[in-house]
Amino acid sequence: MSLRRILSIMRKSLNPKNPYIIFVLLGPFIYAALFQFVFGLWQAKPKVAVYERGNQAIVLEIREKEAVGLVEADSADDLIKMVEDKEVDIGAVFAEDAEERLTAGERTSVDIYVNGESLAKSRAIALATITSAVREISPGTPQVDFEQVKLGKEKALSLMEMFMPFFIIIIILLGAFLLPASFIVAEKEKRTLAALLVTPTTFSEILLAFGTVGIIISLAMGMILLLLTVGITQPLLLLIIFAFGSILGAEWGLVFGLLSKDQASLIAYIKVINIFIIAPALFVIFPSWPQWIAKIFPTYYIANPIFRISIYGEGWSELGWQVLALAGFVAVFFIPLLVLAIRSVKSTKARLLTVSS
Amino acid sequence: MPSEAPILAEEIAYSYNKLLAVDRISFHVDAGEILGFLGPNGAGKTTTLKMLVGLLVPQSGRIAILGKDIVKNRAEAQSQIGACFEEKSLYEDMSAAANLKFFASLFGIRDLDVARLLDRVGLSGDRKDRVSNYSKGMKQRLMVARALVNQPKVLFLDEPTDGLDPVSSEAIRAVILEEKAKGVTVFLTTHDMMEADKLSDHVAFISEGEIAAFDTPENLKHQYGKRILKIRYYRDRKLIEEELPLEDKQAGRHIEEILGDYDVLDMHTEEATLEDIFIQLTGKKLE
Repeated sequence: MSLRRILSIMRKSLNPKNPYIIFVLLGPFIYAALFQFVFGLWQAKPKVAVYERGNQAIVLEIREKEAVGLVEADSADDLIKMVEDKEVDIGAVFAEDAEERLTAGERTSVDIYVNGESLAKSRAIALATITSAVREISPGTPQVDFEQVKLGKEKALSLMEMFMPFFIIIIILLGAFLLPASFIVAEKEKRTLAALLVTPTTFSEILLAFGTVGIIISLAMGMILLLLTVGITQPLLLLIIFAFGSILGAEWGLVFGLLSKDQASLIAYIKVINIFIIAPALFVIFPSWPQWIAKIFPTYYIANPIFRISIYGEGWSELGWQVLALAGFVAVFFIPLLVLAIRSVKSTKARLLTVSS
Repeated sequence: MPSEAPILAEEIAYSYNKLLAVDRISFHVDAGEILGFLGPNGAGKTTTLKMLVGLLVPQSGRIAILGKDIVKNRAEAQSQIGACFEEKSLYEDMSAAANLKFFASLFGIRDLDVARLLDRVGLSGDRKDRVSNYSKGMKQRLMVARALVNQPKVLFLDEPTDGLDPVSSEAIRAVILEEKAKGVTVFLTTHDMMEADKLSDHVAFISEGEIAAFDTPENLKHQYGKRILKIRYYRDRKLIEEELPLEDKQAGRHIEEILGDYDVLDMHTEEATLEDIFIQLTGKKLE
């Protein structure tokens, strides 16, 4: 194994004119900008649960506003459970005589239960709607004491924060997975692998060089994206998770690069496996989905810890087992790579030169 | 078989599944010699070459390059060889100079004289152009230059002039002869018998994975070819054309007779070509 040769191959691979490199470097930022734009234009109505006894005049007012999705709770406990289960962004429990007191211009109280992981924008809309409904039934300035209770982790998420797991996986997919895979396929297509293998270069040096390029770019891009969006807290833990994630991505990239005959078959593979790679990010974005499903996917152990560290400041004690699980996946997926690499050395050498024998 | 020969193959064989491509062949190439490895497509030339350069592991037998077992000491042997394949295998998005520098770096060479190397193959004026803009002949010449970046002691060339224009072919042949003059041992696969005849010290005929003949071109012609004298002359104002075997003792007297009695238009000797001998030995044409 020669470090000099590995570095030479890495340098050659980092061709700034390579469209894959350009795509990998710009892709995450383009995606981020697109998401900001698209989700800024379209966003689901905030969900508000209301529990009001009596003739429910406030509920009717809220329903007329149409700014929120209204869910009527059967009891205060039922409402609290809905908020805890993250089915709604905000829940409002009105006192039994709230309507009478408001119409009489007297002081009353409303208990507001806030889903800690709801979007800040959703909370603002929901609270404004509730306030407006209260004002509608009150003759003058309503005398209301809002008592706010936050359920779950205390954090209002921005759109960027919410979609961060998705971007993290995209970065790993593009950098660590796509680059090594495309490098191998390009060498196969150009038939340059044979030319490399008649120099003292070994197949493992080639794979290591391609994998390392993917890992470094993925790692760098991931850290830059975090820095630009949510900031970096616990840099060592983040770096370890990103490093493991990138290594895992590179292992997959090399495996699929070895399996693909050409760029078309690589793209076909990516189309098929894309959803399995990205799926866990969706479960992080939508915490009400059954989380056990997400835990089946290896990329969950990349996206979720990074999300929890960056947003909720969790550390080794909460996420240590997920980091270990990720390291385990890295070890497990090294086996098929090794097997495939050994098989490829034999078959590649036999088939690389398609000239007749 | 001399163990000091730069290329030594002993009883090497290789099959692709059930297809036997090379069937326990043995040969050697002495230092500074060119071996023309001749055979039609599918004869086993490229499989043999792939085994010799370490791209394929022989399923039986042994190969030593410069005294080093190519399987056991692959990297060591490969550091002293150069190989040029028939199929184009260049980084086309890079320039010729960048291609050469990259391959030189794999051999640990930092001070490669790119200009001189490209000049040798007639590409010095195009060194900064992207290889994708090169013609087929230019690409092949660049591949030959690439095979020389490490100043190899043994050079393997797979059909280096196949399908090329005369200028490119001649440039490549000139480089091969220059390398030979430096003492480089050359293994040249080709199905161009004329080229093999011009360049090779020895030729091996390979057919269906077996070596049908191995000798110098002259010996093969002498052993298997018939030399004839073609003579055209006028007899009674009529043009006569005769072919006289030179080995025939009676022919001498007959030639004397013609020269003395008739008006000779022209006469020349004709030798059997390697192609004729190949067909004679294998029953196959070199296509």
